Amino acid sequence: MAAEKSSIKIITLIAADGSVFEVEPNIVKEMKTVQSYIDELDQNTVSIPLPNVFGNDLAMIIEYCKKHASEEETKEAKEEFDFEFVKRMKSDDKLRLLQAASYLNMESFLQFMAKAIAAEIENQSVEFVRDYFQIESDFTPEEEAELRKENEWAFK
Amino acid sequence: MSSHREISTDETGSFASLPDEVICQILSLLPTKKVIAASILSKRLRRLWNYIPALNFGNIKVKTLADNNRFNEFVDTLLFSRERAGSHSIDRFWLDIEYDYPYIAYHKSFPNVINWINYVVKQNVQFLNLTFSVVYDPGHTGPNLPISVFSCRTLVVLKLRWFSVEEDSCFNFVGFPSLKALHLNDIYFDKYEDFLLLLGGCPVLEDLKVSDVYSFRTDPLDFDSSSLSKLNRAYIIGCRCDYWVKALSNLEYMRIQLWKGYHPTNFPIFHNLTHLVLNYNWDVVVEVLNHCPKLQNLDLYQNIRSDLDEDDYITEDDQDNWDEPTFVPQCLSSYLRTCTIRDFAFAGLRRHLMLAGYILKHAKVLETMIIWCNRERPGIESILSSCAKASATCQLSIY
Repeated sequence: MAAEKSSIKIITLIAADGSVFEVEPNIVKEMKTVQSYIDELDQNTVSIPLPNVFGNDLAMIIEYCKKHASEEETKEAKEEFDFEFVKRMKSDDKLRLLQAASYLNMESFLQFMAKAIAAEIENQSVEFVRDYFQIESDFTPEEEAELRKENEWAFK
Repeated sequence: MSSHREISTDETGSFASLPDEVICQILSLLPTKKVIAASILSKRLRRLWNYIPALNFGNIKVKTLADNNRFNEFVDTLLFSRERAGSHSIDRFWLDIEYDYPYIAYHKSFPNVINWINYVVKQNVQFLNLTFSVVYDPGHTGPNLPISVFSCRTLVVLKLRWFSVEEDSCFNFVGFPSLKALHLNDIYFDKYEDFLLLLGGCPVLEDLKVSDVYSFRTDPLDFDSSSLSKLNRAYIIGCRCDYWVKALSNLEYMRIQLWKGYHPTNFPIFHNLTHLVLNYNWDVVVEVLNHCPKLQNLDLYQNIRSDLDEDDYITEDDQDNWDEPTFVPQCLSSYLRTCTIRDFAFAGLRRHLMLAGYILKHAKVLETMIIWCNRERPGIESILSSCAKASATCQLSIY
């Protein structure tokens, strides 16, 4: 597949752990952070370090991008893929991928991960949400008790 | 590479390193009740909840006056708090309340609900979903829809259930220029004309769902058949559409429930329709198919709703004949790939067998015919298997 405007054929992404991924330009289109880097360069090959993304996560993101960039795949096949993709992730994987999506500035993948995380915490207690995100409270117990009282309806 | 490993494993996945926008993005997908509950977890969450652009009040059950008062107070306080924080962006507002009795809805809840709707309309809401229902004593027409909704030009999705639209409440309606999805369920219009005015004011509508949209005054009316040119999916149940069916000619998917005694004489040609789901009247199936030259998938139902008794159906004699048409619709000879027939032999075994046999006889590229038979009907399989088939590779399954 030829790149549209530039002559770049292959892009090399280097993850935080040093692992290297070679991808075609259409795969990184959604990664705005990478794209802006490419746009500034005029070379046949580029290699871009991604210090905030680990190799395993980058591999998953590239797999997702490949599936969604494919024109041969049907909408149903993509939905099926999304379903299985989320199913094989653990909670920490989801949070790391969310962070990576945020760092790479990937709009639709970020929304996809946000949905996956929202679905996981939707029916859970406040305590679950606290542990899930590892939130450390900066309220005093008195302040917290007061807030619980003020928002009584939310805890029913 | 060592300089690149700034983020340690401890830090990744932790809440602190996620930007506010990402936190808000997740929170806006959650029920507002959860968001408020989570706001006790940290000062950051407490600060952010006023700025979540979505308010989702789904699955609210109001059984008593006390329930109602608590919920009213909660939403009022929340909106006041946002106002005080200077937060002026609500993109999505979803309110789904089930009342035990209409009295509470009409007199104790709606005065507040109307204020909330007016408020979110002022904030240029894009997604508005107002779903109401009553457990006991249903059958009342819904409360009046606040007229402010008709002035909300930013709407992209509008879903309403259980409302009445008073005469003249559309007087200032100038259209929904961005509306892509319109779902109306159990909506009473004083004037049917107002419903048509609403439909005609949605130039980019793609997805329409109407069920039980009714009016007691339906004088013959004109509807511009060139409107709704972007519409590609429509779902029409419990609602007559004779006046506006001509505007549906660009549909790709249609589910429609025909009504007794209706013949599709004023149906347009659905040039793009590939999937049709048809309810109720099988006598006119072939006539309808004649209006769908490119149809690939056909689903037939006779059963209108699962909650009705058998007595409510048209009773047909099992031995009545079906008048086989003398023509063959174009879709049968060239396009139809799948045919699913549900409620088979529910009323009139012989007629249904004749219809299925007719489709098998003429559908040249049919790949599958699936028949769901609600009753024990031995012999169906052997009768249909021995029918003449235009498509040698057609798979016939009967359940």
